[in-house]
Amino acid sequence: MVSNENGIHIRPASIIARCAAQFQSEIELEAEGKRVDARSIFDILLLAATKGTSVQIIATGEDHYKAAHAVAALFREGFPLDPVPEHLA
Amino acid sequence: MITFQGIAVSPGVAIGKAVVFNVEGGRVPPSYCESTAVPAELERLDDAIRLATVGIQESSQGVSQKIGVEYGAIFEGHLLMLHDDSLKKRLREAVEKRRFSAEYAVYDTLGEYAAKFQNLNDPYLAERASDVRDLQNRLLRILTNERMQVRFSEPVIVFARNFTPSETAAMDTHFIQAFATESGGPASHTAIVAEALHIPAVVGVGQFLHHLASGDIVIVDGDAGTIIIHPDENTLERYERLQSRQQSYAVDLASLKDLKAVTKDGTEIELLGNIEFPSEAEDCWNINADGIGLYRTEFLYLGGEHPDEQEQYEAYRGVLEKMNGRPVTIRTVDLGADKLLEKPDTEGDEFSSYYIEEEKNPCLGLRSIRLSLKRVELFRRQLRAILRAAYYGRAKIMFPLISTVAEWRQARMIVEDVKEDLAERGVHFAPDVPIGMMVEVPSSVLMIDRFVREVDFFSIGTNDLTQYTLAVDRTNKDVYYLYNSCDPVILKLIHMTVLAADGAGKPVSLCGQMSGNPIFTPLLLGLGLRHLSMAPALLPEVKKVCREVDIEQCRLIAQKALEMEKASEVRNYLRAEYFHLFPEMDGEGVL
Repeated sequence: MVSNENGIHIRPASIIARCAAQFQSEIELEAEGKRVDARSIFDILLLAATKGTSVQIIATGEDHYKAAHAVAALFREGFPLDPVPEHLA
Repeated sequence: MITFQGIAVSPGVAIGKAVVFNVEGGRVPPSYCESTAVPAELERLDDAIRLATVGIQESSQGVSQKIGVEYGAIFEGHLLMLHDDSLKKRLREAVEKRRFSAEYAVYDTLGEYAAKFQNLNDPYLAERASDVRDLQNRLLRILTNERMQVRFSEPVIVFARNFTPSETAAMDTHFIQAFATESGGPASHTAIVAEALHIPAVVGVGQFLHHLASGDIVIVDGDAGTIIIHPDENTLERYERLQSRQQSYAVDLASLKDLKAVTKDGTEIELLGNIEFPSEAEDCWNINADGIGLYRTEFLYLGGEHPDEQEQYEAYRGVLEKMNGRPVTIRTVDLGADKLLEKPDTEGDEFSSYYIEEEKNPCLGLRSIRLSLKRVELFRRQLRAILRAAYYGRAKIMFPLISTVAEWRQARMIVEDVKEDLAERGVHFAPDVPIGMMVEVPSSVLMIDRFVREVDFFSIGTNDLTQYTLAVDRTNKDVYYLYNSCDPVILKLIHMTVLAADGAGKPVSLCGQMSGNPIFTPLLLGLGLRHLSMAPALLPEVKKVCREVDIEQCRLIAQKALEMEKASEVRNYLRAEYFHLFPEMDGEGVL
């Protein structure tokens, strides 16, 4: 689930792409019927995932378990370089 | 001689030689390379990416220095895109497998992304499409060896369909006398840059560039919003006179800098600046403004990402410190409607990009304070930043677009809540910041007697007030004629507000475009206003008027105007009064 306010915009997209590039597995994101390569900022942006969109992470390859979890963690934490969600403040 | 009408976005008159930009839009024909040339093409590609990186960093710095740090942030997105590994991979593949030349690989690959973004029907992504095109153009320029840096050797007037941030950033602005573009509106990038540089600009002219060649003599009238190509002798002469008069007048105005805006009968008028970029605080300081009456904070949100608390805090604190104890009214974010939901036109205005969802009536929709009250966490973040920064100067907080008392109270309560939080956390902040509201919705004027009991100060925003009262979209060319701030109904609303605020001893200022137009100054003083806030560049002229009138005379003018029936009647009357006061300003083309 996309939790940050702005949805997946440039900064989050680049964080995902950089993270995905660290793994051997192919990593794809799927949302609302679209499936894209998680290593491409452009493709990720084209998902047009706004806050609240549910995104599936599909990793195939030797380190698929680690890869999927690493990317999922980014979503869960609202993309660490993005401003921390503040409704809890 | 051909004359075109556009939207005047930055005042003044310029006469000079035209330079016409990017009419073609840079199509690259398909071109391929031999298999033996592939390594060389790949190397060209890598070089171009490296040079583009340096170029983007320079643009970013240049723009930050010229206009403000917020604006430079646009380029951060460009860098992230440029260094996307999969983009590089695709570009290499286009050369290796499809034998595209480096140029065509760039043109094809980025063009495809731009088109995809454009087609998604999402304003944020459509904006990114123009970022992608900007990136594409930059790489193409490097590959085709065209120099990115545009240098002029003589004064020029610069024309284009539209300007992207990279283009203006790369220009040597020293010789630019004026801008004019086919597309764009009052919030376009061109308008903002021209205003910041204090040069005339006209945008939204529609197609006219085919009538123009570089080197042609042109006149850009940033007051009337006209462009005159190949002016005849009479016109040229008239504009030359006008220009020289404006110049000598400017010298005359500069001598008022250290004097106060005191009317002949000794009434002190507070003249404040309207700013958007923190760097404009310097302009306010330099012209000796009494403070900042309207600090618009939307620009912090320009990059499409929300600024974090620290970033905001630093911007606000910078402005407060720059103003050295003079008051600074910070308006909480006024996103939405025309300013930030605007869709890009064909080439894409590089401005804007906060997307909520398609609204049928954005001006009547989720915007301004309504948006803040809905997205409370963002609102609280901004309030925390302001309250903390307020420790370092004399800040006031102002809410935009308040339309009901309940809305005001809700916003006010959140401020108290944020203060408690800050106090608990033991952070430095100013606990006694005055809290006020914009008066720009007719309902707030009609209920002003309730508001005066609990609001610390008011600021009348005549632009929105006119739009909402007369139910007219000021950007719609078919109904624009109805939009007129000197319509008697607007004068009435201003008068009501001032009387109620005065009665309760609460200060009231006016910060719409009206306050910066010297024709209106006697009227506004006559309506009882004693605080006027305007674009810093306009302040000296208003000061001059203040110093030459007396309040009794202004009151009579206001009284007479209030009794009139039509905006045109009011305007003609005010013009006549103004020229009566300043006969030297009368003449063709002035104001």
